[in-house]
Amino acid sequence: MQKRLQVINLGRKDYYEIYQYQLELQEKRYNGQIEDTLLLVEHPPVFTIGKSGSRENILIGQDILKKEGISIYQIERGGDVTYHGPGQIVGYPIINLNEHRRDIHWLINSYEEVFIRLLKKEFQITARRIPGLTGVWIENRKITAIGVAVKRWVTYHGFAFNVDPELKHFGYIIPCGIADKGVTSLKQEKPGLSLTIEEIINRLVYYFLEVFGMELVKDEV
Amino acid sequence: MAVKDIIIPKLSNEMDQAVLTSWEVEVGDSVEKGDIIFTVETEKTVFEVESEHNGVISKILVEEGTIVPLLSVVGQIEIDRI
Repeated sequence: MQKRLQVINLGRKDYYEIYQYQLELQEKRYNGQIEDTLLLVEHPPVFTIGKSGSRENILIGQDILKKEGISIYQIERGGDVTYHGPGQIVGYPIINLNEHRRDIHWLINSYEEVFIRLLKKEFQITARRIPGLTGVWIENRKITAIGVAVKRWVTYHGFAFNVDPELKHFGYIIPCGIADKGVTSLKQEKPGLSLTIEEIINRLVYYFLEVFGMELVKDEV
Repeated sequence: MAVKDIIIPKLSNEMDQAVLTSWEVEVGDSVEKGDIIFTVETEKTVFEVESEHNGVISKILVEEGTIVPLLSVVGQIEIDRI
């Protein structure tokens, strides 16, 4: 039987509100109360610090954070500091790996593959993996950041794909603790791009389903 | 008194090590099956490892921040002293 994925497009929502929603869904998924679910959301500006992260990789003080309206959260996902903000599609797959593969490398490789296919087939952009630097890169510029947590083989946290975010805000941090590489966005790579976030989300979901061999759960009304 | 090893799970067929990022328990702590006892990280993924037993943590063998082979022993739990 084909595996199924529920997709929930949340629009623009506060980081912490959706973080708590993730925890709730993660537990429900483990208990078999819901199917595999992909949350898609844009957040107001926020820096999050992962498990192996350091506050020192945020380069600005409270005054600028306050002026720019940027919050900070320390969370349990893998990785160091990252930025989320409007114009970035953040995805939180709540997937029970017991029903796919109990293999972290396979999971991360699959997330990367979604964006490599999306960029190649929809935008004719060649993106790549860099060994040891999880994420999706165009040359030495990161377009998709990945940071995941897994409990009882059910995933949470996920990926952040830069469509057209305020790239200036990345300058306030050392993204993922890596100082010698840059950050980019779809808009920066394809300046003439006129697709809406909604249209890009639809294509992203298509490749997510393709890579994971899943079918979309249709809302039953 | 039975002692069981606490081991790093096999996180992947294509990886052989991970970083033990944090212990969520100390020696002497009582834990129940399913409690998170430590976390490991690899490829930007934090994996929260649960206890497989009810018992008391009796040994922590690996410090936080250490790179450890998958399936290696990182601690011990006494399982009938609860």
